Amino acid sequence: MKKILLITFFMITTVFGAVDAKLEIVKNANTLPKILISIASDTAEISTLSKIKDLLSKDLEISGHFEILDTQNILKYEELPDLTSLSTQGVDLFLNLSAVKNVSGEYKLLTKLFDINAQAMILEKSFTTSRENRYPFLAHRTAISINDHFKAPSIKWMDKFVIYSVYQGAGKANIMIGDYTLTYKKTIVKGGLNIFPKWASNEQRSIYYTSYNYDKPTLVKLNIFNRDKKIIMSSEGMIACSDVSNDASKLLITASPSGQPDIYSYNVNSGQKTRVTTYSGIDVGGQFIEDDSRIVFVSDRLGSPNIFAKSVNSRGVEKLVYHSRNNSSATSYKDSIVYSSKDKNNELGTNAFNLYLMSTRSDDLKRLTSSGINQFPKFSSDGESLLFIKTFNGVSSIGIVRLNFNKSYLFPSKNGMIQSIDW
Amino acid sequence: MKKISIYSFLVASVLFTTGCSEKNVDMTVDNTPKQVVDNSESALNTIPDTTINEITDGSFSMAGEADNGVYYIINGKKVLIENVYFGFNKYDLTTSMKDVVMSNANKLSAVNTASTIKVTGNTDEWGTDEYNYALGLKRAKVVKDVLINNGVNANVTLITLGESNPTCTSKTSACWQKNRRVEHALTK
Repeated sequence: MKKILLITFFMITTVFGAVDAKLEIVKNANTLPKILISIASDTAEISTLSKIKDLLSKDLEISGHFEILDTQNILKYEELPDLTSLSTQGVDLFLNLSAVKNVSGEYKLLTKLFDINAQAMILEKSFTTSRENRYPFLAHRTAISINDHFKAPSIKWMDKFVIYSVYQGAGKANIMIGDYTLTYKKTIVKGGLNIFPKWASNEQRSIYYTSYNYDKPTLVKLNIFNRDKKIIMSSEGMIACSDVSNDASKLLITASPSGQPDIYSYNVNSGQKTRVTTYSGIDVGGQFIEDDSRIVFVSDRLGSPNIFAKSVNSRGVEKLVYHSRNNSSATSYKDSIVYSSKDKNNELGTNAFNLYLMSTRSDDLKRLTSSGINQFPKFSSDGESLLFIKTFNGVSSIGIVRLNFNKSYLFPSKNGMIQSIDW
Repeated sequence: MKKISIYSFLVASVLFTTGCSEKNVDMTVDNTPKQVVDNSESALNTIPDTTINEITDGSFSMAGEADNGVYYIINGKKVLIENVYFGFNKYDLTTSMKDVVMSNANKLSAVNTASTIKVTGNTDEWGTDEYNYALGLKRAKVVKDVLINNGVNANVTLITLGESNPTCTSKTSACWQKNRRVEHALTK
């Protein structure tokens, strides 16, 4: 009898434990506030508002801090929502959108946010743009505003510009600017081959890019607002700016003045160049780490491309990644490194370059993508998100990985194959 | 002894007689109408149509494109400067491709020092990042080194176009193989 009781006790404990674990997951999901987004019935700006609503829903979903409800509840902008009805539907937050456009083309997005449980309007804000086609930024700013109101972890990166290069045909690529979903886009540089754009600083006013419209591949600095242009460096063979230090004072440049690709450090203020790597094979893709005193880079010094690290001022080189024999396209944030690795036979039976996240302080390794060519990973400034380019079946997309939520989202480029990207 | 002399005489007579009849046969051949080749118009038929060009100033012009390279007329002679192809993620020359580069070097050695041979490295679409551009550069560099070490005196410049300039856009191994190439262009 004792035995039966003991076994029963263990069974209950086991089942309870399992249920408890599951309950924890369900509980986490349930903690997200449910938000219903609606377009006011008395606005004339339905077309653009519908697009804003879609983008805003996506932004809030990507934030990982809200659950978006798909139900309808339409009322005039000045009306109060039916709190009882919304509460019955399980709505926690109700966002009503409206817009007005004036004769000069200025477009103003009006937003009211109601807390159904508190039975009160908790936020009323408007967001203005001088041109209606910039509406994606109004959506992103609204999402950031709502997110900030609840003091959730910042999603300010959604309002940053993305700079990218898009192939336009053989030997041709334009440089474009856009929002992170590529819904808004504007061509900045066109004509010839213009590749590897990189923001010159966190202010996002100037870019470095490689132009093939000179005698030799040339690194150009361009102020995208006043169009000031400055030639930084030329190199026979190739040149590319791989990274800009946080204070914008130093660059890591891959150049080949004698036909040999190596990494150079460039002092923006003095114009002084220092060769950082000297291997006779391929050294490319330098990225600053550890207060700019060290770099991670891609090298074929062991026979195939892999990720290495070295101090800027000394010769020793350390192999960082021991997984796979073909790794490239590395980026770093504090102790975390993301790189692109060639997986020979993945579950789809095709070659793929997948992104992996590793830590320099542990053996943790996590695959972030599963198919296609995934490259140009770039951490957000807070290290919580990762931007990358995915090419699958000839179509390029911008990808966002929300590292803390194990979720990723893709936004296809409708302009052609993306060559490289920075944000 | 007399007998021997008589036999010798007879044998010699027989031999002489035989020799005469052979000579007669030859004379029969000689009697056929003989063609005179000197200064005859018909002899032009046997001269090759191609001309012997004595231009050695290193002049060149493009004479068309082929699937595997570009035709140039160098010193008046039409030659194919062949593309050089590479394995996946490789920038070393296979034996057969080394032969191609040597053959190109032989043809390009006639180009004079005032001209430029632009050697362009290309890659397939796999791994489209800085590494891919560097891979294209290393391919161009290995070809340049062989050209220079094998009699090419013209100025040889390097450039990489990475994956930006494919000749083939299908998603097949054969197509990717065609894109992993080094091309040559002559400029004055």
